[in-house]
Amino acid sequence: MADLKFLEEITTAKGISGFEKDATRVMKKYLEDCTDEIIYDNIGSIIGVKKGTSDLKVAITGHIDEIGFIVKEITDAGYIKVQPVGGWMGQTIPAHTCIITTRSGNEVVGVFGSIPPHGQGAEARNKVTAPADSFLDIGVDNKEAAKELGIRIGDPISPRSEFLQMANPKYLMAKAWDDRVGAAIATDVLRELKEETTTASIYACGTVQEEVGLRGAKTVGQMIQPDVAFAVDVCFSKDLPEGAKGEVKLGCGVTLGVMDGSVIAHTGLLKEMEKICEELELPFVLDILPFGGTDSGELHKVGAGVVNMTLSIPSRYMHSHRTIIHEDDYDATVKVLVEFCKRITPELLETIKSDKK
Amino acid sequence: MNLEMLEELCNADGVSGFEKEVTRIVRKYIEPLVDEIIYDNLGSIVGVKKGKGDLKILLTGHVDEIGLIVSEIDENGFVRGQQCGTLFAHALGAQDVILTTRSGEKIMGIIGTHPKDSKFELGKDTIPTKDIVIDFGVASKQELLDLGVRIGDPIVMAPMFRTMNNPNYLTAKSFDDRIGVGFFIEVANMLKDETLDATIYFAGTVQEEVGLRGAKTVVQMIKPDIAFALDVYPTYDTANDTDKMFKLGSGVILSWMDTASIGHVGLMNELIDIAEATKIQYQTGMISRGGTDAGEVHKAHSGIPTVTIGIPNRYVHTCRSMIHKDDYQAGIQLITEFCKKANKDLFKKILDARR
Repeated sequence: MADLKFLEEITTAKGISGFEKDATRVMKKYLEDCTDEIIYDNIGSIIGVKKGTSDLKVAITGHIDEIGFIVKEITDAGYIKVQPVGGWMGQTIPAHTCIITTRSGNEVVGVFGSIPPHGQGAEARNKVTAPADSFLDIGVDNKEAAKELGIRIGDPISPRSEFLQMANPKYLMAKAWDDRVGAAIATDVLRELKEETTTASIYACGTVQEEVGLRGAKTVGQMIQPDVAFAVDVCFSKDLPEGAKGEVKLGCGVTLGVMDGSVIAHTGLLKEMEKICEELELPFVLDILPFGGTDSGELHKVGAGVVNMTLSIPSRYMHSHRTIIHEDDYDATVKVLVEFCKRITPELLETIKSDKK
Repeated sequence: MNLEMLEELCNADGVSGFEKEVTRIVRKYIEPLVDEIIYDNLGSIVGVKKGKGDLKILLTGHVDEIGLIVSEIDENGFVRGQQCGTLFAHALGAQDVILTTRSGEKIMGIIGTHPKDSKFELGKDTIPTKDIVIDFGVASKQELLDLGVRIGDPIVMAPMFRTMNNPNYLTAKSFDDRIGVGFFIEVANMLKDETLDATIYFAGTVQEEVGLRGAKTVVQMIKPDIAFALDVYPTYDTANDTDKMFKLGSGVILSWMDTASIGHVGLMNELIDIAEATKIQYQTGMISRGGTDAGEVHKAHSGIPTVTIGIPNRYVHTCRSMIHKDDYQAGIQLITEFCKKANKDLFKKILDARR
């Protein structure tokens, strides 16, 4: 059973790429009690370390950043023009609220404005405004009033949304499941392992700046130089009324990523994870994404290469203010990772590697 | 020149991420010629021939090939795949393919084409690669599952290796880049009785077609001083091409530039000097699309003098590509000569050419 209070805290924390401190602090709060050490890379990624009895190192990463915006310009009338950070879609922006965090930590709520439909032709009504052309209205008279609130060019703008259990309480809605769910799973794996002694040292990583190019994953990978690395991230739930249909959907259990635009799963590791799922009787599906990527894209290329794959959590409405995941998928993913961390030894690693030789 | 080995390499199945069949053939042929075999953690294989000095030279040929990975099996048993590398849709229709299951079974299928009254207009439209459907001649999804087919299984074009009417011309499904792999094994063979100053690393790199991934991990593992990426380079010498930069049978290509790297001037000059002195036929030039392992290799650590050695190849990225034996032989001779000559002084001279 997932700790919903923790999930609410970590998803509502503000943390767009480059400004992740609020979110890493939530992760720190929950890691402190179950790790031997908490370390950081030099660009803000957080790593909880549980020491093992051997030199073996397993990293589990979830990226701690979320998509958002940065203040690009304050107009004379006091509107905020924005620079999108990460992949936004124009359709999901108007009428949503965001929070601008000033240098001193002051928080200002704004709403993305739009032109009223009245009197506009069909063409104008159906036209989508590009994310970079969107503007935020913070409800002030002019530029000076905005400045007095402490707003400056470069301030981060985070989506604002509530955490909600839906009609079926296992359906969890929040902003930023991409990828607080991965960061939360990495954390919960260590919480579950608190009383266990593992052969491998386990590194639960909240990596920064994934949405702008897997940057924290690169520095964390280089810093830790793990033997095995899992990226945990969201994937598309193929159960919407329109679009692709498939087995990868809310409630399907563990989703093992075979391939995406950035990585091909290590075949030996994939087989080992399938084996664990079968033995624990956890339902699992295989996922292939023709595009996109996760932290794995950088992690597997560190040093002489890292045995790596991605575990995914099916998610609806990715890259919008309100996304939905399923609690069962969360729990199953924590379970399979906990079991792997318990089982992994230098001998098992050699067996996994020998699948490629 | 061992054509039997080249045929064996070219006929092996090895989509990116699934290169073990190929690396095992590499191991078989290169093990007697080197002092040690090592692997990176992604599956790349490296044969090491130890030298007397500290200098390290890396030769890479990528072991993976373009192909597909099963992404969807529909209720009627048709299979769709996610492409690994760039497949040319116009060259795919009606080809035979081979799928390898988890347990190693080989299953043959064909790439379906469209009837003349379909939504695709005959003679005009090419089926987009994303719409390519593979037909294994089964009635249902269950039949395929019973055969052991699963999401994630690799699919390659069916094997084909042929000596053409002029026996210098060879065709195969995967000269890209088994010709580079055969290349470094031939160099290892030429050097087998030589004691060299430099240590030579003969690397079969994985996952080049999806982004030079094995090249990155191999170069980080080896930390070479000098490197060569051995790969196919497209020719523009057929009836429909007006750009005559590279021709089949006109010698090995020393690349000044492609989209991933620029040939190191000091190293290029040295190669040209050797080719001129030993009368090895070569061509130089550049391509404006595509890159090789050199793209990652030259940027590792504090930078590595690197040149791409191209084997001229007609019909690149199709399952009927063509090379010329003389170009291959010229490349093998040139790199063998370089390896024999290389030492710390030569390395310094190469670096100084850029200072």
